[in-house]
Amino acid sequence: MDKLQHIDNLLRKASQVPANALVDASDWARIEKRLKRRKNRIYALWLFLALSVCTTSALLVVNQINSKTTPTITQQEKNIDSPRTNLDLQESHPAKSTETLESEVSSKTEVANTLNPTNQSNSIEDPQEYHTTDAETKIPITENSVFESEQTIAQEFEQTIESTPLHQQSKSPEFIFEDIFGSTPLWVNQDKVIVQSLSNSKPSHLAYDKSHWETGISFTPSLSSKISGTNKDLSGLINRNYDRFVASSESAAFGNTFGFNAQYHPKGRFFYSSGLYLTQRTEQVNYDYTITENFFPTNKINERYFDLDPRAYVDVNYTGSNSYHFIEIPLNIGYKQPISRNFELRTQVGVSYLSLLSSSGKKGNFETLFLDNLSNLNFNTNHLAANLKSGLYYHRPRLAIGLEPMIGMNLTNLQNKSTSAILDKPYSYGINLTTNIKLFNQ
Amino acid sequence: MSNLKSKLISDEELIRRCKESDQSAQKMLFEKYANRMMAVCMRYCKNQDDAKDLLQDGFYKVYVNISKFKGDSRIDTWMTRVFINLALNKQRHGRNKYSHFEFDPALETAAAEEPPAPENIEPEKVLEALNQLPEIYKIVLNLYAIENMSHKDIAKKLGISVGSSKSRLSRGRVMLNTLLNRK
Repeated sequence: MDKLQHIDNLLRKASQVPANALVDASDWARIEKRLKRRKNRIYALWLFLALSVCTTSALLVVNQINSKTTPTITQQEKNIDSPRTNLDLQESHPAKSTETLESEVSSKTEVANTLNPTNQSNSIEDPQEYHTTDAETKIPITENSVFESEQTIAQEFEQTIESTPLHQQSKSPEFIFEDIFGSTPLWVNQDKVIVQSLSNSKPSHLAYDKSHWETGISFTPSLSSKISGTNKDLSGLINRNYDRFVASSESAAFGNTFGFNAQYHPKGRFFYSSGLYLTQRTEQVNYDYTITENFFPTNKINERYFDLDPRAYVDVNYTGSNSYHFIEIPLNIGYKQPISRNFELRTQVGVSYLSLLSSSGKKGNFETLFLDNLSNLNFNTNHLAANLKSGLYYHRPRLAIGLEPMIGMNLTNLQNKSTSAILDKPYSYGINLTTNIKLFNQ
Repeated sequence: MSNLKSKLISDEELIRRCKESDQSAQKMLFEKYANRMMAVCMRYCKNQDDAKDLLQDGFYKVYVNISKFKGDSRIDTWMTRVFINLALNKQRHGRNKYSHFEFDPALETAAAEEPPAPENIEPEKVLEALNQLPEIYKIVLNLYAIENMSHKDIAKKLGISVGSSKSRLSRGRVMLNTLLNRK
């Protein structure tokens, strides 16, 4: 029985005394301010999410409607060699003479023959063959003139189009396919072989002459680690065994970033990129040590160590992955360099705002060496990070698929400088996989 | 006036409204329990400024996490737990945020042979003496004597062995007794 147990009673009595005089209105004012800031942060996040979803949805719908009602360049190009194209030619060039039309048809056919020499049956030398698409659409051609037959076809199509409801005048499946993937598959229609050949001479899908948006999703598997530093103000608190026991047992681990990506591409080579991501930075820990000594804590310096009684030794044995989850909003500026018809090199650099959502795992305390739950530690919530990405993008008329090696590094310390003697700046490097849909202004 | 209002409204009603982020209810909860929580903060901090920081952080944490309060215990018991956990975490990971103390080398020589401190000593002096103790002893004294925690629970909370908890309590009592005798 401890002779000094009456000390406990004195303490209990003392604890009953309320601290009336110490609390004032300014305490509540500061709490209220923090609560308001938190509420505003939540509102801002939801507003951003709602705006992003609404904008993306609206742009997709508008773009889809426009693409159904307006023929694309690809479509017009293809129509040159089809019966429907003859109608287009006549409608779009009403003032053209018969000779002009004839020469245009002739020149297009020559181009086709040049590009596809093996397909000689489609040449102008056999006009009947040239105007024959398949058994169902075969149109008899007299020797009088090409123009007469074209006029007949034009009239037939005019009637057909007038009698067709508007919704059925939209693109046929193969046109939609082409808009998305950039070429008509050979299996759609055999007579499009010549069209396929012509489309090879199409301009690149890398549109630098008009502004557009790209939106889509991004996923970045990465390897994550950290740069550790010492807080000079509190360095005296670092346990002399910290490096040997704790720091040397921490290494890189796998993390990832996933989220919504939005890019604005004005005319020219530069573009701007942002988005909303869930970013994970990680570290692998493999602690296996025994605490055999303690210290007398003094003001900011722990230097008077003493050996513990062997019965008080503490074994620390823990293996696991620590992870820190952030919401990330990047703002990057990029430059793109074409390297072929459908490939380009894109480089982006910029900064990100990161908000720490949660942390999980265990970490050796820099002072006591005991394990702490990360969820209980005092980390900074708001962070800045620098990003650098550079990689290859593959383009189709409406799609851009990117594969970019990237590195992202926190510029601010994970730990609060006023409470931690160890300051970590986590970073990660990996491969960013992006799939974007292109949204053009009509 | 508002203080009176906060006393008239039941805890259940206050909690329900706080869970709905009702600002007036949050203020009433603060007015009702701020003094009691400040006393807790003072026991874990070295001075009034640090205690005020802890008070604000603690109430902020209470409001953010109040949805987790299931009503199994009294609200002030739950709030005290939140404050103590916060204080312990902050002290463990950054003793300089809530506590600045000068270590008194004379305490190392404190001996159990000293006579027991007088029973009629003023509570303020007891708290003052408590705050002069090294943290590792002060925390164990606080948790054992005031919060009525067992050595097993203290050991679990602080990540130390039961033996360490007992020895810290014993040593803390000796030191506190020495300090009170000097008052």
